Amino acid sequence: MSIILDKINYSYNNGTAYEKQALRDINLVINDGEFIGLIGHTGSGKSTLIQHLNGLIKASSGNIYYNGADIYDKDYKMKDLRSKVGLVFQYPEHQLFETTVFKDICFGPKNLKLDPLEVDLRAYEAMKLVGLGEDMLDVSPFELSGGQKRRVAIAGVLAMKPDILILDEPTAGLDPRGRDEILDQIEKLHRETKITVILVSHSMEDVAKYVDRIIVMNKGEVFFDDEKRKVFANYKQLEEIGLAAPQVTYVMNELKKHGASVDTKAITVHEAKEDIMRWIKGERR
Amino acid sequence: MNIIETKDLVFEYIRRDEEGNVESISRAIDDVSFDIKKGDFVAILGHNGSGKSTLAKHINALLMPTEGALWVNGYNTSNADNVWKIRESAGMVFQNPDNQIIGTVVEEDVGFGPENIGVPTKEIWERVEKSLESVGMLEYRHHSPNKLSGGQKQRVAIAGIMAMKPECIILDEPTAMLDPNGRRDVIETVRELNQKEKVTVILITHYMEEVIHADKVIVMDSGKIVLEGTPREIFSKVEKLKRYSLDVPQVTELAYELKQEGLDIPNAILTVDELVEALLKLER
Repeated sequence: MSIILDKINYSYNNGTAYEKQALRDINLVINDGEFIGLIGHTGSGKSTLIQHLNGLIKASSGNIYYNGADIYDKDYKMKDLRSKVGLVFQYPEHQLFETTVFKDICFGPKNLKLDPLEVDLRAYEAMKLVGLGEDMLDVSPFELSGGQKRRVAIAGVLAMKPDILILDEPTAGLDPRGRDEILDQIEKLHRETKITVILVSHSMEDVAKYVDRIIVMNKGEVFFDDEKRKVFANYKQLEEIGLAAPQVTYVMNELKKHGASVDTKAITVHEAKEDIMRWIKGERR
Repeated sequence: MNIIETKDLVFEYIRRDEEGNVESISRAIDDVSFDIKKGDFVAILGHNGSGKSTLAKHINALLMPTEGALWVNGYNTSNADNVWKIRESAGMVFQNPDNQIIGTVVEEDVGFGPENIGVPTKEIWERVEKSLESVGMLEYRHHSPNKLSGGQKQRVAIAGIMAMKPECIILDEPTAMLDPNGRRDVIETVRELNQKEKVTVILITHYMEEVIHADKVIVMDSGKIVLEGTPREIFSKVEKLKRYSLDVPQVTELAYELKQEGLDIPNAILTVDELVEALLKLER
């Protein structure tokens, strides 16, 4: 069970003077249960790429296989794919429209023409998964705080029971606690339900803390695709394409440059602390 | 000299039902007094709903105090006759770059403000050129704004404010929707305007790394000012900031954690270089 992208190319404004190739020869395999970070500066092709994964954009050339089936086959039911690959856009709260939180979350599954009882059940479950209490059921989504609205929007996608959840900058515009809460919830969701998560983010610190694997996009191509520590070890190359490593990685590299025997692999505060303490204690012994 | 002074400022959002009866009152700003010196770079922090944006909107008279008063450049914002003078001296940049640009060509967009206040044509063009230069966007003057990146759009929006020759710019989360490059460009531009053009800057943000160069940081929580001081003073209070749903830069947090472990390093480290230097000193 996986998504395979085989030599995907995509260009828009074809045949005009504004023709632009947004994706170039993308080959990727996304396996079940992975937690992936997708990074790259604006215009690198991240958003175009994720819209291919649930068929919102059709590649100019190349193939995409979802669980072995070619999604561009003329008999393939694109609707099934869209219910299995859930996409949470940037500022998803702008898409809330119903009168109550519960009705809004029910909207997706209702459109799948499921049994009404099943619709309610899924909506309840989705609310629980994003940490919204039952006291929120009948509240108007427009009375909620930014972070709560975003949870409602994510719950609406989870109620479709997707196998893959793609989030396009889910923390943009939130305050630090709001950011942590949303990401902790997503991490918990991934741990408990084994759902595949693809997190598009501009925050290297967040990516370092939560994901396992990082895909770096640059100018429509896959620049790096590896375990997160290995990707951040190339921080000089990341800088060249407008990205960076987490701040602590710089601390470790600077220390090493000055002769300290520390490991430069640390990418979180916790890892850096442990390693610096190990070094300092070793020095003093 | 103070460019902004406030005294016992209170602002209440009043909700009314269909008959006009008061349904609920919420106090967004609760008895706030502070001054901002001319030429300072001041950052305002606080979680969503803490009252930062409401406060910012008072500074260019988009909102008027329910109680207390606020003066911009000596003009009381509660006096309706002062509104235009206040908006000429205090310009505001908002979060979403797409909502602030109205011209079809960059230079026309920047010229919109001065044209509205009847600046002579020749001077408008001079101002447009100078302000686009000050934000590093002069080479884009004939471009269409919708082909620009988010960070570039924000810089055009800032140029539009600069063309009004303001004494003070208020930026309400100007980088929230930008990527790291766009964020850095916008913050560098703002710092440069502050240092070279001596414009007073009031920056509202959720990114702690953006405030380490500020002259003063104000932290808000439930409509009140709860902390006020230099970035170093503010970021030495790691636990307290977390209580207000805020954070510290990652390197500051690492330094704090190391200090908790018993290492003898200074309070409130703000940059990578500072921490590296402190740690190497320990080793010697």
